[in-house]
Amino acid sequence: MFNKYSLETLMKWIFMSLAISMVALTLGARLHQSYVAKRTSAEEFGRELMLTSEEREFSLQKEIVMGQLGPFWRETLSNEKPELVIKNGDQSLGFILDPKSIIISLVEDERYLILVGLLGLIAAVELAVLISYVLTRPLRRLAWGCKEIAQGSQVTIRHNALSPYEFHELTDSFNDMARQLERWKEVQRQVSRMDRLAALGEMLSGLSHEIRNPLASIRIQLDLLRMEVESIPDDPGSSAGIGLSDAKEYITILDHEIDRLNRTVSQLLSFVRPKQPIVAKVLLDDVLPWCLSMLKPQAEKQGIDLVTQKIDSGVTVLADNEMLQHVIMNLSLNAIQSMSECGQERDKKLYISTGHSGTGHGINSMGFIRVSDTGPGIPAEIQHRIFDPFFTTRQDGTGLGLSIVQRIVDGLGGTLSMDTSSEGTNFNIFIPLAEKDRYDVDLYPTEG
Amino acid sequence: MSPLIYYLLAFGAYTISIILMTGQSFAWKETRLSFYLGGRRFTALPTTATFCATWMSPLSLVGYSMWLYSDGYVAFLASVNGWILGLLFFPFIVKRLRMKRVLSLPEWLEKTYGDKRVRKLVALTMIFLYTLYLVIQFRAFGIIVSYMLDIPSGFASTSLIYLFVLYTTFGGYISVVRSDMLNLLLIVLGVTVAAAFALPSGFSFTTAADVFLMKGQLETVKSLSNAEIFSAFAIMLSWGLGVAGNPQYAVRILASRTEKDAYKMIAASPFIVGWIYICVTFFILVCRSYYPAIVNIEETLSFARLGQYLPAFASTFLLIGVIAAAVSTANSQLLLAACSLCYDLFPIKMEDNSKESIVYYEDRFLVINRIAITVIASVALLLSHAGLPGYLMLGRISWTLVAICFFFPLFLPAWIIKDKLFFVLSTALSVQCFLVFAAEISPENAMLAVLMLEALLFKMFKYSTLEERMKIEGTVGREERNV
Repeated sequence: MFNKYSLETLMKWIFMSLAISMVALTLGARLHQSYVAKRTSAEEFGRELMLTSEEREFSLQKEIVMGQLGPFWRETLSNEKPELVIKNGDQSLGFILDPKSIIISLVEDERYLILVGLLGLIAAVELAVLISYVLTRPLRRLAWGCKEIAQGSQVTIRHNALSPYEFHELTDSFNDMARQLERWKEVQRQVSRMDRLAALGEMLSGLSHEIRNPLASIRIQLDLLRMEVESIPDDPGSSAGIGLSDAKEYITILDHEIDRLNRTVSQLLSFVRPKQPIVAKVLLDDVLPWCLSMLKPQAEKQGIDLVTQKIDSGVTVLADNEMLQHVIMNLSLNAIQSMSECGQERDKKLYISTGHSGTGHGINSMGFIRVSDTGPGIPAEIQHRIFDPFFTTRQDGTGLGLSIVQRIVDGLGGTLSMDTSSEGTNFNIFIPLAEKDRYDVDLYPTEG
Repeated sequence: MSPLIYYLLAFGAYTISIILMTGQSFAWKETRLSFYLGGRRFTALPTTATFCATWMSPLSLVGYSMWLYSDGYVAFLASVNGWILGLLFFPFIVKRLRMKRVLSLPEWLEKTYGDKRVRKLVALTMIFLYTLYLVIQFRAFGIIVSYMLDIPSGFASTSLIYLFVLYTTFGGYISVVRSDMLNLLLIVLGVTVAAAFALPSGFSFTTAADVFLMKGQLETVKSLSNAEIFSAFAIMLSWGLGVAGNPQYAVRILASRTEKDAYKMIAASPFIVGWIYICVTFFILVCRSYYPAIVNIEETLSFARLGQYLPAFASTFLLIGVIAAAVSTANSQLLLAACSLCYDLFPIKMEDNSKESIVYYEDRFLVINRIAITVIASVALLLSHAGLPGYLMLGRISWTLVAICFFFPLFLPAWIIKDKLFFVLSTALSVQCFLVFAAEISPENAMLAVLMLEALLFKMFKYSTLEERMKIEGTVGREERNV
């Protein structure tokens, strides 16, 4: 039954009871005091009048005697015993104190006090309402936060300046719990992804093996066939000659397609059984000219301006040079691909930059390579899936590029981050610095 | 027993009932919709109760009563007729109002006529006129309480209604409806008891009929001059149109659970309101015939003094009824004024559009809204001691402003030229203020002139728009022919 009542109702009842008790107590004491005083005074006056009447033996009209006695005395009825007997000539007049008259007089005298009591009562209740509001407001927010977390949303509760410090503590604890839960969810996501990848890898490994062997045999047979065809003398005018040239063309197409299939299988295999990296010191400055030479023709073909930037020079990282190039190549080709789908009105630029990350943190500093484009960005609904293997938005894509990039970066002990908007996308690759560089950073932090 | 004891007991009981009945002030799941319109979940019965309780203000009880007492049936013809005339308009706007899912009447105007400026102008007018209205309620309450408790009229007595009204309005529309149910009961009880015990010889239908037809009552109407008849007609019209366009009632149509409930409310309320007017009229006519000596004192005090001719308990009911009328009207008006200020005039903006902020936004909005309620109530409390004119005058100023703002947009939408509405309304309001405050013309006469001006402007703009359209069509036609 108690869950029907709100804190506000309870507080209101408590405060109202307290206020009523206080008002009743104060008023009661005051009224009782006044009642006793009035009664005593009336009794004394009555006695004095009685003595005077006995001494002087006066004879007055009954109304005058009553007027002398005041409003608190009344004449006795036939069945009542008089509290006061006044001799009036030959008569004896019996009087009795009238408590009702005393009370009416009291109420009239104390009406201000009663008014103040009523004001106090309403003020107390309003105070109760405000106090319960101050208490329930943070609780309401916490309840909302719990519901949101239960629905899988990420929540941070703001502090309320009016709340007592206990609620600040509670809010901090809640926020901490929400963060831990978020981390736990992330770990779970990663574990689940790794499980999926392991299963996928096993399957792909078998499948690639089964495809690659017949593919090698097809390639050998095709080479033999090409040699056979090329050994036949060419007679362009005759029908045999035309057939021969068609056959050569078919062989070229077959050759091309086998190459493509081979590349896909190689990619699959490199994903499933990645090469062990050969880690050595790599000067990031050397990577940029290679990027320029490899990517410039392709970028120009799509009308994209390729810009390489050395944000910090002389940055040496521990990495596999070939793999690093592979990573930059994959990311850059993706960027070119995304920008090529944009209209001519967009300023298409591909930036590849290298440098140090966060020179203020010493040992945590890393080398970074940033691949940025001015493309349309990655839609929010697919952002969490782009590193999943086989996820692609292109018809001819394998969907392995970014997952291989992530695997390589992970293998090198680095991290990969991405931020995207409708203005473009940045991929940041952070690679551990070679030892010398770390000390360089520690001892001689870059200024500015 | 002394009437003071009755009064004190009744007043204490009323205070505790209000505290207990209005209930929650800060509901757990409150939103702007629940705060302003009770979540649109009230059925016909509570909506009718709040409609009628809000209707019966000290202006309708005390102002009308004292006018009737001094001038006889002419007061009935001009005021009660006018108010009931206003009721007849409501069925026409139910559908129109409820079609747009809005929280306030100014918002409805913006959504219907697509002009933000109109919303702001009307909101500003509403804040002004409801603050004036609040002064009436505060004053009447203060005088009645000071009479009942036999204390000087001043801050002590008016601060009580201040606390009552804050308490009931803090809970929003839901709390207002709850308190109005109690208030309506007290008003009906008060006037019924007063009518039943008004006749010194005891109530009987034949005596009652005699009172209504008593010599001297009807003569007041028959002896009116043409100017007086016109003036009464003008008052009737202005009050009728004022009622018809009053957002206090329109908001109750918006807040009804269904359209059917709104119609039920409109159908039932004339009976309740009519009963109250019949009882008050009867009581005052009895007083006019039997005790004509109360003259030349403040109207609420005169009304309270008329109560002394009733038995003590009946007079207690009557005076508590007036207090209930003041509280019920004040909290409703205060809620509307705060809504106009925080929702329409200076809408509180959201920080951003994330889901988290929506929850915080509602909370922040309602806290600021409550601060606005406190500020407006405090201003009204101060103004109630500032020596403003009497109830009837304040009421007349307010009703006429309401009629000018809302009559055309609510009842004659076909006349409105959307992009000219702001110009017409601002011109009309300025002219009305000039005529009333500078030229000192009576508000009703000024209002009739201003309404005609509004009609003229609307027609003129309509005509010029039509002419322009015809010109354009003519030009296009000629071009087509040339091609």
